[in-house]
Amino acid sequence: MLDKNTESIKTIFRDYYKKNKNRINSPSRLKEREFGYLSFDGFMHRHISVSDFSDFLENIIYKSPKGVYASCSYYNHPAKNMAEKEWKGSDLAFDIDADALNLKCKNQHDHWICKNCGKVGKGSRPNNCTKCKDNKINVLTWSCSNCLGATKNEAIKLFDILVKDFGISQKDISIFFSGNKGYHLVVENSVYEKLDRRERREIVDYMLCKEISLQSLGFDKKFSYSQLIQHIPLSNQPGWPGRIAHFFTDYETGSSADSLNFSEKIAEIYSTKSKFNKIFKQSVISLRSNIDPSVTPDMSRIFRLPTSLHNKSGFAKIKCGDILSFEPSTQPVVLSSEPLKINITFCPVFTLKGITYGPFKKSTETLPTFASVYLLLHKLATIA
Amino acid sequence: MVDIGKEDYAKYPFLPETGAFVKTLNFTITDLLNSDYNILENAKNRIIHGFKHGISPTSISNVEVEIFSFPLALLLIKSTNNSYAISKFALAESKRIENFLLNERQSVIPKLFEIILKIQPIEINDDSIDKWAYKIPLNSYLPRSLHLRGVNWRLVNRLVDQGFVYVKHKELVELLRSEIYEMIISKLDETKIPPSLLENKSISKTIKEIQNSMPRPPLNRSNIVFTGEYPPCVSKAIEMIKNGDQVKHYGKFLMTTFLLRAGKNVDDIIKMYPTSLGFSQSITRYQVEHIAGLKGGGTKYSVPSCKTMKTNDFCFKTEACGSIINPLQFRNKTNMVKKNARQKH
Ligand code: SF4
Ligand SMILES: [Zn+2]
Ligand SMILES: [Zn+2]
Repeated sequence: MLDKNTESIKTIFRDYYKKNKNRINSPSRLKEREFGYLSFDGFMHRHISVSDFSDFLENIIYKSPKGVYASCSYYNHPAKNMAEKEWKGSDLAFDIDADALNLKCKNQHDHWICKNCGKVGKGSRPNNCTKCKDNKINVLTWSCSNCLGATKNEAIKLFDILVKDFGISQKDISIFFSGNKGYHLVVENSVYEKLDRRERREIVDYMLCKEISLQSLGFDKKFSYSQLIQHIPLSNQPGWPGRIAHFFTDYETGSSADSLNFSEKIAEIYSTKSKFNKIFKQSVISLRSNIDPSVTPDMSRIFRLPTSLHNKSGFAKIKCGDILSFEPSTQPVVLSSEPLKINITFCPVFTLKGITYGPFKKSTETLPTFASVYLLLHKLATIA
Repeated sequence: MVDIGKEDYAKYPFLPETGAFVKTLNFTITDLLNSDYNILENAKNRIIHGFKHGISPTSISNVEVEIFSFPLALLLIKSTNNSYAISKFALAESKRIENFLLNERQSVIPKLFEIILKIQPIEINDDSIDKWAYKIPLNSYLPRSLHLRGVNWRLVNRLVDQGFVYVKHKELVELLRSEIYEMIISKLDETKIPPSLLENKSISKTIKEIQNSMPRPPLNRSNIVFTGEYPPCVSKAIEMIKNGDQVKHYGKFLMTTFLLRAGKNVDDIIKMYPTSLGFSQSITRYQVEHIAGLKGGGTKYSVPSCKTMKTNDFCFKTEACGSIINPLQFRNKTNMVKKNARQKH
């Protein structure tokens, strides 16, 4: 049996799917993909094959699950178990999540809540409650415009590398807002679909600039000054050498080095190792795309179906037409604005569709359904 | 037009032109044997030199002799029916080809690589990136670079642009190593031994000579057949490979050396890699054969010690391992251990 809150959310989700079934598009290569859904009782149903998408949606309305998923892989037998599916290929998929970026704002808006005494604290959780010393503590990861801006930035960098370095045509790349705090980028391209796990891992390391070697960039400890000048990458070069060189030439050292020409400037910085290493590290951090390394190589994973609802926020996963102008706190907010009364135990401030709510503490509020559901799903409120 | 001549036929037996040339001359084996040049002698030397030095001779004194000694060498080595010697020969021949490729004239290289790679590497004539000679598509680069050691092979350390990876001439040859080997193997597969061949006295005498100088295989597989349960580290590697997980080099190395000692052959081991997960058969084969000592200098690798496995973070020690120092000593004593445990309580 589901509790009252869950029942209410389930009904709201059902209404959404009923109203929007025509807006949910069938994924490409429908019959080759594995589908799955997570029901509100917590059970994950996987290894489902779909031959008629509207039948599948009818079933989704009937079941009203917490989450709906489709594989990024194509199989001969998507409904069989993993070993018998017969893999044919996979989209090249990337995941960017705010929680992995370790942003400073997390300390401002993430909280912990003691399950025993209800004490609420800011930042990362302590081992024991500071008030009652109990160790049963809930963690609340929240998000703000800074988090959403940062993930968007990572998505833009990734898109750029995919187009420039990997030569993937823009029309083969779909950027989705994940429905919570991040983005999914999916490449559907016959050249890349056959890559195996290990090959996908190489691509991940490339995006993360992981273990990039100075020597291969042209910085060899054994070089004389003139050799160094010759080997230093130029900022008009493609790939990592060009991007990193560009970062260096734009970097204002505040010293006389700034007036030198490109290669001479870099060589000058290189002559002071500690300074060079510091700038190099900065360049890598700011240029790489901070994707989740475990997602891309895992071809057996299923991803949230575009236009379906996220079970932690009640927002939809949606395709971003233009990533630059995309509004992550407005466009994915798809549930109704009908008023819904809730009892809030506690919640930090949050902004949806341009309106700021909270902070609230032990109060009963009537908020638009999308905002109430957001708090209900975070277990910060109950139906009043 | 690329001008490919007779000398190239001698250097690169995989060229379609070489095959066509041999056909037009329409020689029979008897013709070959009766020719003024000692083709049989040359074929024999090719094989034996390869056994000794790991590479077939790279000097060409007579182009025709070289051209014809290759198919004859295929017949001879195949007649020995010894798979170890056949692999040794294929490896020595591919080393010879690599050697030629490294010193090849610029004008014919793209054509040669196109035949090997099935796609044309694009030549770079740009001064700003002059250290690179060619670029090849990313999806041709990745499966080949993955099994090469050294940070310079990692994608992140490459110039990658518009879906192409830049490589130097020497690197291109290295990337294609396993393909070159495969081409020799497929030539061997195509070779049919005419039943009358062995009736020829000089042929059967030469085969004997070859057999006498054949290297001994590094492992005597027949008398050690492992029947028990695998040690935890080996089971772990097998399980990971079956699931398509990335297995650290040492894990694969342990599994391969162990299974070879346990009486499995190269093919059995290759079959353990699920093709459905996109493992490239030929690369797996290359790696397994390398460890089996069939490739790359023929070093015989032994099963690494438990200490080595620990240092390389691939030891999954359980009670059953006890105090063994090499995974080969593993005997499952779990039942015994359990019995003792029960007695205690
Ligand atoms: S102790 Fe030896 S046999 Fe046992 S898991 Fe470790 S390496 Fe393997
Ligand atoms: Zn408490
Ligand atoms: Zn934030």
